[in-house]
Amino acid sequence: MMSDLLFAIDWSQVPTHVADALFSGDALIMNGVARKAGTMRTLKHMPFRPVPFDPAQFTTDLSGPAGQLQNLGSLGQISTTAIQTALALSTALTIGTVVVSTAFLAKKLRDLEVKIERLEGEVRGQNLLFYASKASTYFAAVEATRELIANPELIAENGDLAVHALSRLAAQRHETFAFLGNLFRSFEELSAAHQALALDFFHATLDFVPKAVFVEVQAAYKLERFRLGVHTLNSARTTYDGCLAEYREWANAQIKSIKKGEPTGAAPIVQERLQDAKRLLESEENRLLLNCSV
Amino acid sequence: MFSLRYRDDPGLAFLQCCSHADLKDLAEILMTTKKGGKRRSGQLSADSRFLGSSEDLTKVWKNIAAELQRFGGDTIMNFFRGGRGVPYRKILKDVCDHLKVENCGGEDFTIVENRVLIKVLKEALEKMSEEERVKFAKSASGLFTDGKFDPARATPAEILFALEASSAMGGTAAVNVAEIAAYAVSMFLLKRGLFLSMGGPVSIAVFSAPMFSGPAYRVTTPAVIYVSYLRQKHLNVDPL
Repeated sequence: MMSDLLFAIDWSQVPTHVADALFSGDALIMNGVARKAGTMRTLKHMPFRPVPFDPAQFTTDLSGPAGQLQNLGSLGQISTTAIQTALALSTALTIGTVVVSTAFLAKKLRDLEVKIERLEGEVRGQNLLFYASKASTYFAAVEATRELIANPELIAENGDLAVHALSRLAAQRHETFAFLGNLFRSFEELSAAHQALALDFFHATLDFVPKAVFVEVQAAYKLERFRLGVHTLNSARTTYDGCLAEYREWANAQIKSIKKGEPTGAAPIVQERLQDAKRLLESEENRLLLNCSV
Repeated sequence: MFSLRYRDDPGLAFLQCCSHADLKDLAEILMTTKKGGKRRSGQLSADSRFLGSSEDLTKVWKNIAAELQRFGGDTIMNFFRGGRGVPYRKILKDVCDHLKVENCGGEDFTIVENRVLIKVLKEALEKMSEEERVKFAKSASGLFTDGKFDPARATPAEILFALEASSAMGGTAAVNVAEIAAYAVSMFLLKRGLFLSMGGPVSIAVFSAPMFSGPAYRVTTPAVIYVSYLRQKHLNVDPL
């Protein structure tokens, strides 16, 4: 259900030793609770303050409006690094709340399904259709899990379902990463029109994955599987960064082929969608979702 | 008269990766005569799309490329081609023939373009007085990595060798060489220099006017030099 209130960390109520532990990495926030890294001992239930927000602001860019909702004035004299960490944690928490508790993810999912339908309707490449069908299944599982964890009563009653969802999501995440790594390399086999559809699908999927990982991590935290959550976050971040790096290298090579005067088959569409690629590769919200435990 | 019509051209497609400032300079080179006036045979300066995009020429890179293609072709043949000119490969070959630069068909554009740039700089060096050469060597000393290099005593052959070595090295060194030639073109035609990353304007007092002789070559030769510079510059930048 859409709400006009979000919760941001109230740093004025966070004891100094807890804040210091969070800034130094000795503590992590998990499901709104600061815990000692390693032992997972509870340090502090993080205090939150309600902040009004306009859901219409959270459509495509999450990090911009989420960042504007933060107020670190109460932190007093701390180092620049600590301020950056505090801002990152607060912003990630706000973004995460939007992802889990609003219709944001459902809308992303609808957009993706439209792209998949267009791919299935127009592209006859068997590999691509196989990938699209796998992605579709993964996205649906993510949305089902999100629904489950968004409601505390639902997750309390159906922990067994969430455990099952976690095991399924991990496998599907690995499958998705595997096909994302192969997808852009198959673009050259497609016609120009199909390349555009495939690249849009690829960008949308890569943009969706950090949100999906966030949902998976939050599901683990809700079930108090803290180590599993942290492991999922770290493992997914490493793989995602690797995937982005491969894509960046491949895309730059396509553009370089244009500059050399020997354009490859996929080069024109990569150049045409350069701004989309830049947005994806520089996405602050995706970086926060994959780097901050909240 | 036909409007400007771009023909697909792998040699010029990279102009879509260039900035507004890059394209503005190239357009000015195409539109401006040696005396600083507007080139009467050009179509770009009257092209409505070009004029309407004066704040962002990246939208009309094809129009600018089409103007260069048109200058590369014969007027009558352009007419029979429906207003389209010739591909950049043909323009580059013609400029190479004009400057007596080796050009085997099918070579990488950068290889042929580097030969053109070196030829242009060689001719400029040969026409310089000793005083001008010392001044040039001093201003371009960033290219000479050998610590023993003495600009006051460098012979034209030594300077040329350093330029060729830098050009062959690729990367920033090759961009610097291309910049010198592009700078010279801009000074010659536009009466203003380009910013040079090596620390300041390179002094080229003598720039070989005969290179730009002939009705077509006075446009295509400087344009090819500038396109070569742009290609070198952008080859060294990854957009992502």
